[in-house]
Parts: sequence; structure tokens; C-alpha cells
Amino acid sequence: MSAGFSALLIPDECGHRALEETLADWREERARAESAFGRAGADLGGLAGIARVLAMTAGAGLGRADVWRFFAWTMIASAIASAILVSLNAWPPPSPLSSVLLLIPSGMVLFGGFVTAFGLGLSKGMRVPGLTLCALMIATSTGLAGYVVPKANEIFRQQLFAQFSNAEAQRARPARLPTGTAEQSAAELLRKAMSDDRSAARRALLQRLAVTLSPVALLLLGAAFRVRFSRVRSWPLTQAAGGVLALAVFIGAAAACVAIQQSLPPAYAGRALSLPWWTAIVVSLLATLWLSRQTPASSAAD
Amino acid sequence: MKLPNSERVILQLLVGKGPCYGLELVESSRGALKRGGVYVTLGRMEEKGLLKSASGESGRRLYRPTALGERALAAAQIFSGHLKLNRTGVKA
Repeated sequence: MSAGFSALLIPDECGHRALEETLADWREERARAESAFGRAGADLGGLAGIARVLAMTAGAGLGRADVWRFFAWTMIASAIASAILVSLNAWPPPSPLSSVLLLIPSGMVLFGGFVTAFGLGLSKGMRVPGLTLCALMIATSTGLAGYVVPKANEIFRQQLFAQFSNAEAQRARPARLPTGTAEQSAAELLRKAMSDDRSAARRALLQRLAVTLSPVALLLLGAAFRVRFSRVRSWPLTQAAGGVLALAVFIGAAAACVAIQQSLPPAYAGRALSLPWWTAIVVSLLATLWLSRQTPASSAAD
Repeated sequence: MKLPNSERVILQLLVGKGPCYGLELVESSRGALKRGGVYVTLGRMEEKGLLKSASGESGRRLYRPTALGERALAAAQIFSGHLKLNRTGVKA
């Protein structure tokens, strides 16, 4: 991993040193081990040590005001963008208005990732704890995509059904509409994926996982672009350019994947709906690594 | 100065045994300190001025307490001693 990339995740010297020392301990314990069993124990201890350093470093960042300012700006901006998109697509709004409001979380899942690329709420020269921001965005996306959106989808569907179906259909309708994968929580999908109905639930889970991880890829790519543009005087311009370029890479990679999928025979084309998301994530992370390959650790702050 | 338990254990070991490497501290602590996490704690303590580190012969960092660290440990021990006495007094 390049110094520039690791500086995006852990900007402070203390965290870097902790990581280096833990890796050195791991190597030392592995070299001291005399049997395969001992080496396996050293590997297990080494991995646990690395996980502990990362968790403690990410946790320490939660006490910083700039982290929460970034989070608040990201959530507000994605909620506004989502509300605009929903109102454009559902105008005039069906009554009650709460039906429309129920669609906002779905939009927030999409826009939350896109907005992170712009680094809203961050200031120039600020050493941002990327690991903390990534952990925060993963937790938020998991909560939204895994639990809030399915519940909102379910209520929205029930409300629309009750509103638009006529009295006869109301009498004939089942007591409860059967739920699809979009209305099931992550825990329900996981249970289903492990039972009989494996393929549909597994595909839905993979898609949600991709949506959950996409803010991390966009956050890091946006930050890597901002580091590259650190000589630009105007910070808002740096943020805008970084965000737009990160989105261009992400959406471009997804679009290229969709185009390839569409050129395949229909039997293959429709099977992997999450593939464009995963392609975009991988390409974005590779682009982040490439951008930060020669960035000195000291200048990798936002 | 507030002295968390892990910092207190580290200072006790460093004052008792002399300068140590991080892995030595983990091994001597009988489970009180964990691999990896110990270095985050050591880094924070260094920032607070409770200890200092330098590269040892093996290229690894060797940690030793500062005068401030020794005083903080002594103060924490006196404070916990007072607490024990008070608790005994209340029970009696």
C-alpha cells in the first residue's frame, strides 16, 4: 500500500506507527514460531492486532468535530437531492404526502455515496481521518439500505395499494401483500439466502452490499483527487472538481459494465444486476491507488 | 490527569522493568494489554508526554517513562490507595 493511500485512511503519525509496529510484531512472532500450529497462532494474533489498531484508530476519530460536520453535510445534501429527485418523478404527489416522503431514504442511499465524493463540510488543509469517515458511511449505508429502505418500501407499497385499488379489489386482496426482495431487511435476506430460495436473495444481498460499500470508494477517490488538486487556491473549486471527477470515474465504470452486459446473450445479461456497482467500486479503488501512488504522506490531507 | 487502566499498566511495567518494546509489554501484562492496541495507547501516551520512545538495537521502538509519567503513576497509586482506605473506613 502506498504512503499516499494509507495517509488517506490514517492521517496521523501515531496511527501509522501503531500499524507498522503491529506488522513488525506479527513478522517477529511468525519468525519465532517453531511449528505450523505456532505460525497459525501468530497469524491469528497478527490479524487481530491489525483489526484492533484499525478499530481504535477509527473510533478515536469519532471524537472530532470535523468528522461530524462532514457527516451532517453529507446527510443533509443527500436528503435534499433525494427529495428533489422524488418530487420530479412523483408530481403531482399522491395523497397522503407521507407516501412521497417514504421514497426519500431510497434516494439517500444513492446520493449519500455521490455526495461523499465532494467532501462537504471539510476545510482545506484539514487532516481528515478517512478510516473513521469510511466506517461512519458504511454504518449509515448499512442501516439505510439494510433496514430503513425495505421498511419504507413496504409501507409505501401498502399505502399505494390501499389508495388506488377499488373496493372490490380491497375485499379480494390478501390480508398482507407478499413481500419482494426490495421490501426485506438485510437480516431477512441473509436468512433466505441460507435456506431454499438462494439465488434471488443472494443477488439482492450482493446488490445491497455493493450499494453499502460504494460511498467508501467514492469518498476515497474524491479525497485522492482533492490531494492532487491541493495547489488550486479555491477550496470550493477543488471540492467540486474532485467530486465531479470521482463521479465521472464511478459512473463511467458502471456504464461501461452495463454496455458490456447488454452486448452479452440475454441468458447472461440479466443475471448479475450488481456487477456494474462492483465494477465501479473496484475501478474507483484502483484509481484511488493510482492517484495516491506518489503522494507524500504529509500532503495527503484534505 | 486522568490515567486509564491500560496506561497505568504500561507505566507500572515500564517503571518496574525499565525500558521495554511493545511486544514485551503485551507479554508481561498477562492479558491486560492486547497486540496492536498497545501501540495506539503508547502513541497517545507519548503525545501526552507520559513516555518517550527511540529506535532500539533491533530497529524497533523502545519505550521508557518520562518524569511526568512516573509522577502520574505515583499520583494514581496514591489516589487509589486513598479510595481503598475510604471504602474500608465506610465498611467499618
